[in-house]
Amino acid sequence: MRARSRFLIIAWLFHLRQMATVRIYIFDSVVLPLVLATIALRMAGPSADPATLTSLTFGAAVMGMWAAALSGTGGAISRMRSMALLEPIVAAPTPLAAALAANALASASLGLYSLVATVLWAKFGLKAPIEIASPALLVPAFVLTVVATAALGVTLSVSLVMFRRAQSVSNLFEYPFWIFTGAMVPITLLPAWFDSVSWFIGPAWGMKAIRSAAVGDASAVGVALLAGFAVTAAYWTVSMLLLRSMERLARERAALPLS
Amino acid sequence: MARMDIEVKNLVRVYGRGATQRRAVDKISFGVEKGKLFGILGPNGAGKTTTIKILLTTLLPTSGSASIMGLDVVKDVKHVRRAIGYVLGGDKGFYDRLTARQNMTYFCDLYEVPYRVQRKRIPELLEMTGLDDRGKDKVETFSRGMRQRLHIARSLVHDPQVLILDEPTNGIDPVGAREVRELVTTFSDSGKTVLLTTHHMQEADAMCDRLVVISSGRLIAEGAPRDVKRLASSSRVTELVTTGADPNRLAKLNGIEGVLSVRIETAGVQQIVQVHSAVGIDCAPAIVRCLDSVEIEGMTIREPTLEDAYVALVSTHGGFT
Repeated sequence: MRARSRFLIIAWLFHLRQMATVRIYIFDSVVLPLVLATIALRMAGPSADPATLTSLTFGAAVMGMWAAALSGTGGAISRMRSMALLEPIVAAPTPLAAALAANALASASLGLYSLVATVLWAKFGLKAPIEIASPALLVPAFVLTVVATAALGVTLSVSLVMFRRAQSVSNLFEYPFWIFTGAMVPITLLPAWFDSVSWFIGPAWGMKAIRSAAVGDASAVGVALLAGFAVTAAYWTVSMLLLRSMERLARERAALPLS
Repeated sequence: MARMDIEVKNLVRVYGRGATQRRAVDKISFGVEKGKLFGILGPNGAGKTTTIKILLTTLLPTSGSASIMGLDVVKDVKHVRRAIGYVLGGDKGFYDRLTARQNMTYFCDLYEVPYRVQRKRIPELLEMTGLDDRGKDKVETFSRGMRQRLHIARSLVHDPQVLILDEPTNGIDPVGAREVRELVTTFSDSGKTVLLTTHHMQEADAMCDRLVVISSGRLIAEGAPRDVKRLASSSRVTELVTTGADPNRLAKLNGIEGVLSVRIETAGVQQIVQVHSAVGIDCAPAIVRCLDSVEIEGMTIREPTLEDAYVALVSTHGGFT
């Protein structure tokens, strides 16, 4: 247990360092959210009400975070494969799931940074009147959003592992996520079936929790947190089952190109 | 009886199904004693890598069994993974943008090596592989030979008893290859059991205590290098150097009575022709007659080397692809 915890911490820092050397991650997690927030706030204009501007800022932050999660965790397995690291990691005593979890943690850390940096940029850089009725509720809402986004990235990564072009396929999920989480446009403004689909998307609950925290609706935050963590737990369970199945397939049928 | 650190019994691995089914490994058996350096020789597609992947637990056998230090590679996966270190080689296999030391730390934790042990072992391994002064450099700045040495250092982070090396000197310059060979030899000298695959016959001859030759998934020879040479010493080698010979004319050498195989290497306008023939039959006059007007610059008859033995054995089993 101690060795596993140490591995998670060391590997988390290790992946953070590795990601910090790759320009695409830096762009996705540092630059993109600021660009999106700037565009959204400029489009809304100075006459928009503070609640709308706050909602737009958080939406831009989550969109940027998802871009970082896609490029970080979404393509983790295919990147390991292209670097000929998948086989050594699979053949080590530590489960592949732990290696992926460390990657997801690193990605989530960048996501958290992305969220905070975007809000600060909107408030101090663009002078947007960000109004948060309940900052204390915003903290668990942020945590849920980051964890749920990382979990969705891992699920996507594991689901696409059999595709050699997994990274390209996972990129297709960037824009649907923006819509179905309500990050781009509040779900309530879309046809009803969008809301039904969003129940199964963990980060959509995160977005609901953030918006509810911003207006101080504690009970709505509570419901969103419960539902969001339940969906996230389901993602992790599905991911672990898929991983186990993938490893079995790789060993039995040599179906998985490890290198 | 000496303890076997690696035991492979009637190992079979089949790829594909139905009409596309292919036996990559076909009832191979061998054992490697503790502290010995054992080689697997074979041409491309012979089944070497499949055998190694089964031992590494990344592939399941179709039938038969394999064990490392008495641990079954199918049932005791986690324990086997702790007992072995391996080098698959190549330019990749590291986080290139991070330093050698950072990569070593990552793999130490992947292999559950306690921190206090890591602090001592990482510098020791980097020193042993001659990379102590490059530990803080990014791996992307390393030459292929240095990466290979780092692969070897990486394979030893958890101090495994058994080391499996897949063509450890492949693609490395002669000086780098010699360094790697010397390094590998020290492992078996220190009591570790080493299994390596190689294409370099001189390497196998010089390093291995015992070896097997596999071809088309089947084991075709086993023993000490001298025993394998003896297996093929039922042949003798006539080596000729010719100039501007017609390939069709050279191909006719195969038709001479007693000739087992003919191997031709072209060097500019010259051809080096190796004719393997059965002992007891003097083929030299027939060869000269067959070549007729071809200019023969030199002809020697010698005992087979391990490479000759390998070529003869594999040719006989139709293993070159």
